[in-house]
Amino acid sequence: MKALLKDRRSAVDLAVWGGLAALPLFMGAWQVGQIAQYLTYGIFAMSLALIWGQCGLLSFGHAVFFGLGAYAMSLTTLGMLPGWLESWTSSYLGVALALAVPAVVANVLGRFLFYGRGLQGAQLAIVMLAVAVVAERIMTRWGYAGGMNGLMSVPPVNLGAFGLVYELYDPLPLFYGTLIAALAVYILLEALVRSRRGVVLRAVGADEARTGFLGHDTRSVKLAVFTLSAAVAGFAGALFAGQFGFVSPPLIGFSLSTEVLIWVALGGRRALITAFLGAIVVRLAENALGDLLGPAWLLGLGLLFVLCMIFLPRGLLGEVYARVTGGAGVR
Amino acid sequence: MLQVRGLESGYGGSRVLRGIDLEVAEGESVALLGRNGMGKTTLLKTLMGLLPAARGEIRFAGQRLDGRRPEQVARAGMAFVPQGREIFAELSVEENLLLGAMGRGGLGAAVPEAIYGRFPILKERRQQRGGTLSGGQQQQLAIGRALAGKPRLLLLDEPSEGLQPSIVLEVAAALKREAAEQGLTLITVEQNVDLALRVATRCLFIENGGIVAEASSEALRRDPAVLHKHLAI
Amino acid sequence: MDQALLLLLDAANYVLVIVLVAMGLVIVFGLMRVINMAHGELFLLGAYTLVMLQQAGVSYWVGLVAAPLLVGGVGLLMEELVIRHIYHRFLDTILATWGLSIIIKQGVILLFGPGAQSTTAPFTAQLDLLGSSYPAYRLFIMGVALFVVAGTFYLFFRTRFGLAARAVIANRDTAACLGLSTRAFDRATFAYGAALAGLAGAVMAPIMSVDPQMGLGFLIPAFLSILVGGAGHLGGPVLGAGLIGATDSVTASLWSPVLAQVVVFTMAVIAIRIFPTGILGGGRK
Repeated sequence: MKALLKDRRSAVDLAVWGGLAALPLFMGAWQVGQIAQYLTYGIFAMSLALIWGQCGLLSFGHAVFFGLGAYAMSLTTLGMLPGWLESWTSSYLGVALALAVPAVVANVLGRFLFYGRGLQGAQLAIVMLAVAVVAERIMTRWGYAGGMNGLMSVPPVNLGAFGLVYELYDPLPLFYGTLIAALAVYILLEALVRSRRGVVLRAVGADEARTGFLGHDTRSVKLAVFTLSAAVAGFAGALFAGQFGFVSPPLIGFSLSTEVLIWVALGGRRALITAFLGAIVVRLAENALGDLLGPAWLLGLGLLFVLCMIFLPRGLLGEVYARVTGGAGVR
Repeated sequence: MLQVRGLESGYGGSRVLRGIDLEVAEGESVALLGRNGMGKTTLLKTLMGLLPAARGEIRFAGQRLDGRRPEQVARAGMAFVPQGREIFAELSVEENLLLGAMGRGGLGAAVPEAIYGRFPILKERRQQRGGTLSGGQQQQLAIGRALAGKPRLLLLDEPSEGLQPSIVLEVAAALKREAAEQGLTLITVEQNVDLALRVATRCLFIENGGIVAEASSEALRRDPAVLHKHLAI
Repeated sequence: MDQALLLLLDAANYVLVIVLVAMGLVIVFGLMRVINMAHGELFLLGAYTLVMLQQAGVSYWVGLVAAPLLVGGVGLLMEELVIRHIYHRFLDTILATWGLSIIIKQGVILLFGPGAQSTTAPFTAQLDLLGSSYPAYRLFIMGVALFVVAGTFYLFFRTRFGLAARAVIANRDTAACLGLSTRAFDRATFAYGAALAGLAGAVMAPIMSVDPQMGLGFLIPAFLSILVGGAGHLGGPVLGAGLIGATDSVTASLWSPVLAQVVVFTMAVIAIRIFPTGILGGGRK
């Protein structure tokens, strides 16, 4: 504990988690439920920050994996899986599929895309944009998955097993359940980021060719981290489905992909915690100002985003974070 | 014609040039000598505006040129033949020369006939792609391209690199003639001392980012001790 | 047979417009190494310029000329205000132009609302082609696109400006050392690329529903065309758009538009695996 506190970065991160855990003390039930949902977006944001901030892999279609997770979870818990799987409606199976399906899709896509060298390695970003648009259109047309209306009445996450039922439905359990899930994801990814493998990740992001000369198989590194990121995004999607009780095509498509980019960029792509907070803060601000401003809200967000890219590429929170922690590990 | 005072520059955070003072008169030919990594190429790139000057000033023909972009420096009358020649391999010999002329003369400029007179091989090969020329021909093309803009000061970085001795002599002779006939001022960075002494009237020695000694080429030919001291030959 | 001819014409129509859009992207990328994600919104602005002018009672022909000029001006502004500050930070330029695309799209929504607008073609005649009738305006679109694509090739391969631009593309530093102003070429090509998108938007507007989301529908096939064809040569997007556009319109009319998107996307992904820098190669570096 002492060693952890000596490291300013760990200390700040710990304070953030502590602060989040204390939030229900100051808030009403409705707000707590609201924040619980934003925590899910935060997990999603961390999955993007992992590939983008650490490894330089930009994706304009990351919601594809979030959406796949959400659909996998919903189809499972609604008992819509094909054949004998139909009777398996456990949330655990749903989460497992929500991790596996996006991971497999990402892995297959990566095996093709990471060979590309066109447009200076930006082909992933652009092809993912195409995937998002195609995926949204497919889901809109696919009657089995609810078509344009999506799937309704998705049951909440059920932590019980063997006939026991404990649903994460009331705001407080939902909040703490999601917070624990987010913390678990954070610890897992942060351990990776701080490990030797994390150094390799950042090296690939900084200069892939040079990292390759040192003997690293950069393509496998990218493939592995992209797969992991997709699984985490799918996990966030699964939690989302349980919280909202419905899934629909926009979840898998273009606009959510745009939003998550904005959260991570404004929050700060270099560190997981700033990306995570970025999602929560932007959602809170949108909640407060979105209705008032209408289309101007997104316009303002876009403007802020461009200014950030020019003047504060580390992000708004990332800039603060880097100053507070002395920039250690946040390049 | 060229006055440099207290010039410092480098790459990223590291300083390579640590206060260069240099004066070159119109029509003079100067060689910069020194071992690898001492800052010779960095000096030429800084003069040309390819690297920003961190400190100090560059005056050329009465104008301040530090802080200017390469195209502005080129238009002021300085030309640069970089190491490795950097000709446009996909473009024809004529197009390469044309680009040299257009840089200072505008889009309508023509290649001065004198260039073809100076380097007859370029006239012969004018429709060929630059990349298909031999090393010596490419060097002639790179010099011809720089001269096509009618510069007053020519910076050459290792013109003899990778060339056969006979071609080196040819290049040296062409440069000398150009300097004599057109009043062109030359600054040459060279590893090949023989070429340097042939082309230049004065040699400067760079060590650790500063000019540490200077001597006339004549004196160096008579007494090579200074050469041995600074170049460790 | 008639059906096949109509299909062929529609495919050619689509391909040529994609070439116009992709060409602007590739020129800007070649010169500045900037991937302009707002290119689709420049197309959008071209279409809305026509909408705005027609609503104001101005003739179509004025709109067709005004759109590329106006959008070229917007491109110039983008370059001056945003791109030139960050063009050495590759990923950030992609994101910043992405942000610009959001700004433009939301600005259009604020001004015109989220709904679709319509514009009218200057003529509605049907031409008789080998026994089947075909809208003359579609042939006009093809004519305009063909003319501008050919003109762009001429500009880059037959003029002094093009020679200098190719020199800047091949080696920026060397070109600058010869006295060529890289800044001026950056500005000029960015504006030119933007103007191509603006023209494409204006010329297409009368045959499609003009709405704030329309840019993406052209940006994605244009990008896929470049990835398939190669970004190192102006011929890359032409070849890529030929493959992508033809496959898309044939599949869409024979089966369904969704299937067409899936097929085109799969084709692009496989092409990237086989030709990592595109069929014609990616040029320098």
